[in-house]
Amino acid sequence: MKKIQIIIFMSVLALFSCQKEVALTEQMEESFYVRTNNADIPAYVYGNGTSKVFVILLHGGPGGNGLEYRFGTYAEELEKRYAVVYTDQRHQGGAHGHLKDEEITVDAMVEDVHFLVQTLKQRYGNDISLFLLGHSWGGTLGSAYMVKADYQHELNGWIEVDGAHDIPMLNIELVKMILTIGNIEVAADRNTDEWVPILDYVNAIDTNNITFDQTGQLNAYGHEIEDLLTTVYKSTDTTFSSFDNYFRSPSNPFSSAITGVQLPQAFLEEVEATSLTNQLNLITIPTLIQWGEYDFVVPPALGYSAFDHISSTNKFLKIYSHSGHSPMVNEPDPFTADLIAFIELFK
Amino acid sequence: MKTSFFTLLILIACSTIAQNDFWERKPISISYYGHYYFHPGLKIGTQYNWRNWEKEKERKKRTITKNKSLFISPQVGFYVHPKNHNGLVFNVDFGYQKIKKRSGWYQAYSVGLASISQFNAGTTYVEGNDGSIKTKNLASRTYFMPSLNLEIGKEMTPGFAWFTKFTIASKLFYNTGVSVETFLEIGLKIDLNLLSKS
Repeated sequence: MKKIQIIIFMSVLALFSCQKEVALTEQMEESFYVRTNNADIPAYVYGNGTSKVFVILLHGGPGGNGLEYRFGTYAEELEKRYAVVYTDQRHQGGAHGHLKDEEITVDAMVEDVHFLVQTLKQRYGNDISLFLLGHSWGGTLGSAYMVKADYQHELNGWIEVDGAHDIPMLNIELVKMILTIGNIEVAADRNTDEWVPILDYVNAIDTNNITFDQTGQLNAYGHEIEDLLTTVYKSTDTTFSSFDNYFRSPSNPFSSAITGVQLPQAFLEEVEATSLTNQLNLITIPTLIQWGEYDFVVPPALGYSAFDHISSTNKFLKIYSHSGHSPMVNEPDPFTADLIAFIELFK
Repeated sequence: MKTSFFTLLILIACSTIAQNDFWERKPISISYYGHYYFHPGLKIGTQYNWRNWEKEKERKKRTITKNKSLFISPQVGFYVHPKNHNGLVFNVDFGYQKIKKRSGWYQAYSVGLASISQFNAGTTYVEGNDGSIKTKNLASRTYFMPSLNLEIGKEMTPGFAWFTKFTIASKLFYNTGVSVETFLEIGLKIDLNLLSKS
């Protein structure tokens, strides 16, 4: 019996010890974790490591996961040229640990990103170039990272894609945008049946006192509206097949979704109150801002606001006229071209 | 604390088994152990029936006899979710089983109590006390994982059966809440003693 136990133990050890050495190759496909403040945060690295350029992708949500962004033209083109680090934020995706509610804060996630950046340099060398790309909520988190201490100087550039650096501003601008575009659409008798209840709801909102529940409903309407607009191009990109996504990916969409919806209420309320506009002037590194003109989740007014407030001498704003909240999906070609041009300029 | 609890559970199960001369009469199970069906693994276990009874039902043409039992089944499983984590599971199932005596088909319903150690894939980087970054291999976290199980199978010959088992489980105290896990097992149950006699 004891012999059997020893054999099992040794077999398990042998399986665990099969780790490859860290090497920068043209087709990297590896994962590692960072353990910080009681959370184990996964990082999945795909793409061309020989470029020594790493793009860290901060996913949306809160409640999403990094690998749900690994599809389509932009991901393929980025991975051909650079290494992309798809990471899950604490209490989201495949990140795990024994956590308390008070350990789930925006600042804790900023510290996680900081530790990940340092880890990437240790793992792949101090001579690598690092870019941070945040989409949607990832833009909020990325902005919070950029304005904290001197963290931004560890990066070569910051890319904000339809990010939400000021949620109270977002809610007010979203009400304005829905009313403006909605009334135009109704006047043109386009999707009137769908627009009328949305306009009724939004008209009743007091923009001086938008409640937590109302922000949730506005967000849901925002996604719905993008599907109504013919000016927003639909995705033609191939995505993960469902089978691969659910059963063969390093991520686990079932578990990720369940974890994401359990984010503590206090954290969600903190996010809703996050306003970084007055600190964006602290950002001095090269910045690319990419936005969909018809983003009804995070209106382009926030993109203009970010562009106006950031102090960087090298800052660029790109608005995509046929895109909603995800220009990498709606207009992948110009989106990808702008992204690569920016990275090439500052890598 | 949770690990101690499970060690105790498994010890109780094993000691009960030993007292009843289990190894002479009960099967060893070995199975494919698929986390979310497709993350491959292996599970071994055994089963001790601590209550057995027989029930007969009269039908028009024949009498159906079912052997029923309450059982305890300790198991050890290991699986790999590639590039995500490796899981090591110590589990004890407590269940009810009914077997059709004539055909050998059986069903079992059980509740499992498990300890799952989730070993991070690849290297885990941790912050040292001096602010440096250190690497840690075999970094893991252990979670308490209760489960519900449905098993069906058939005894092909005395001492030899195949089975498949569906499990839905939940890691508790995972992040600030729970996770949902599902497992599929397909395997064999072999009673070496009976097999050698047949």
